[in-house]
Amino acid sequence: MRIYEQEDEEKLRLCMQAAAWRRNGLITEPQFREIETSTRTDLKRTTLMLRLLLFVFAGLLTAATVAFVLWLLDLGDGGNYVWLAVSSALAYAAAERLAGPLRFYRHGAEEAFAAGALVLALLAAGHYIRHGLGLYGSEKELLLEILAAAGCFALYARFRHLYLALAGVLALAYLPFTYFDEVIWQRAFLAVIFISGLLLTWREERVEPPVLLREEASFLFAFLLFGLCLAVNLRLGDLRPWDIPHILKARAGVPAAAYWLSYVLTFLIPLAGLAAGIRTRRRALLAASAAGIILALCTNKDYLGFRHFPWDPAVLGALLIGISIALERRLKAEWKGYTSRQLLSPASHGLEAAAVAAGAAGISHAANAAPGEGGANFGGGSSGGGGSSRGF
Amino acid sequence: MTLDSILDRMTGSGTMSPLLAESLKGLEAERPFSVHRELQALLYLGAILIAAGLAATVKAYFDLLGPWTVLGGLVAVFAGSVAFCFKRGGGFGRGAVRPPTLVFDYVLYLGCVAWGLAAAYAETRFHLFGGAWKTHFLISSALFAALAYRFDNRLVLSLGLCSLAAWFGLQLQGLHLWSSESYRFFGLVFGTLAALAAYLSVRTELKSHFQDVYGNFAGHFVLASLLSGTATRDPYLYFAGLLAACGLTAAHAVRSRKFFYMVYAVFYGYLGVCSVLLRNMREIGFILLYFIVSSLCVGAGLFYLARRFKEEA
Repeated sequence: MRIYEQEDEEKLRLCMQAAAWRRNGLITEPQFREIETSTRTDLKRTTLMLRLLLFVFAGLLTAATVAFVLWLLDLGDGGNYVWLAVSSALAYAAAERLAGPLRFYRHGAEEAFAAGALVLALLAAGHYIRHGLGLYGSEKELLLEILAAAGCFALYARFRHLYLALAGVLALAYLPFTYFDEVIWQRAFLAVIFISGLLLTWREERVEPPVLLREEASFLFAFLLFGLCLAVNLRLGDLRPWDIPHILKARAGVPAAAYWLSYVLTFLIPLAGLAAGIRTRRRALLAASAAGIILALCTNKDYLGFRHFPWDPAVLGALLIGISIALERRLKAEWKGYTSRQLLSPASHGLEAAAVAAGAAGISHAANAAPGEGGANFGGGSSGGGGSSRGF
Repeated sequence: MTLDSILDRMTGSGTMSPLLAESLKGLEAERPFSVHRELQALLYLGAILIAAGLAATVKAYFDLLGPWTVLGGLVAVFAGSVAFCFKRGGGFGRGAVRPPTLVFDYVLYLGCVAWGLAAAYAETRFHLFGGAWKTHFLISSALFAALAYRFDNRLVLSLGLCSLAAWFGLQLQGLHLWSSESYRFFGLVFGTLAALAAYLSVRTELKSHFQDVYGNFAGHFVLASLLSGTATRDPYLYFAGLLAACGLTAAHAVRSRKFFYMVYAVFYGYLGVCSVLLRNMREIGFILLYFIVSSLCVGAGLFYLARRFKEEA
């Protein structure tokens, strides 16, 4: 089923690990060359940023070509979905060709063709469901969501791009919102989807596969756990300034027992995840659980009906910093196999997003905190750019 | 093929010491397990949340608390954090200086945000600079830059650059230069200054690792300004400038192996070319054909680059 041999992928991972050691001065150039020779494969790779660019332009090429033929041939409703289905098959064949005989690996173009094939197939299916089967509204949506999820998982099984599995989970997660009207059933069904996924990935992760597969399963597991945290949280819609879509908002009519059960679960699930993450040393699980706990803290007052104060974010921020300081001190000298020291520095792509975002956020807060008075109304001066103009 | 077998073979052939091989095996198995990145992420989030909470509190209790309480509190936070940094931090160095603790950088960042809030509040309340009220952005910018260099802090440098950008923008507004042309000019001047700073930081070896912070600002401001010029009635000068700037950015990306700059160059360059070539095209078929041909050309160029540069960890 897999288009790339597991051993080749594992070799690439080892080679990248060796490159990180070389970059950090742990091994010499000849030592790296020897490891590189031992882990050589015929897979063709590129840098992360070039991969991104190739993905975008291969996607653009696919979309423009399909649209051009549709315009040129003017096939009408009946012919349109036939052409969409044919172009989907062609895009998939291109992806297979690039990843198979030509051995492109995480190269952007083959990923765009595979994703494009799925999108085109869904467009064709949507067209057929409406015009061929005569189904509309939620029935059509339901069918499309199931097809999208199945397509994503099938492509994931073939190409092993983790984001396809995540997209498949998201497509499945949309099902309850199409099928059920009552929020309690939506959330319960959503929780069932995530729990089923957790059980499946947990089993895969426990059989001690090669490191790469274990990392994949671990990431998927963490994603599902975070999804479960979102699913059980009935107060997400009250969070601001993030405007969570309407489907996530808590609605009236939730029984009291379910409400308080959901409150307990918002803390219990991420705490259990954190405990498992610490025990099994899974980085993604630790991060997802921490994010789940922070989310639970954010919605705590809403659950209990307490009043929000402007300094609430600062209290949470101080708590996070306090925890970080305590952990740093505790882990300075290695403790139970954990350390706060940086062992390997990451590669630089030139992106300083964190620094730039922190600067923009800081100046935006300063500008917006000053209430409008006289000439110093800085409203709208966010992002610290040329748009720092009044009423811009 | 496992790492253990490769390292054992290298140890056997004498190309690697057994001690190093054992250390590498430990690293591979994540023993010890480093939570450095996770702690940094928590600190970053904490600092941003505290800054947001401080700003919201000042805004909400502007009148209730009284000016001296607000100002006193904010200035005390700033003074305390700077004092902490002078006490705990090492001396100045031209290169990268490791912070004594993880929280060190964030303490200074928070202090600087408090200063920014205090300056904005004081100006709003007391009109210290009268008509030249934007001056507080310039002063804050200089202060942040000095502290960023003294304590080797990229977050504070970025804060300083944002303050400077705000000052530039507001200056133009004060001069009643409302047109998009003047903002374009501002963007070009600011971006060029940031690019110059990036160049000088490497050339003089004074905090050369700040290059990417400057580079990100320069890339966006210069390329976005030139791109906006290609949508005007007389776009050709801007278009030529954009192509030249994208060329330079792409060359820098290849030379420094930092391909994020290539993303800048390709996206801004492609949008510029589209803006000029598609402006008089009305036929949908030609537009689609243009996208097919252009994406093929760009894709071919990227494939050529991709063949030359393999992925590294």
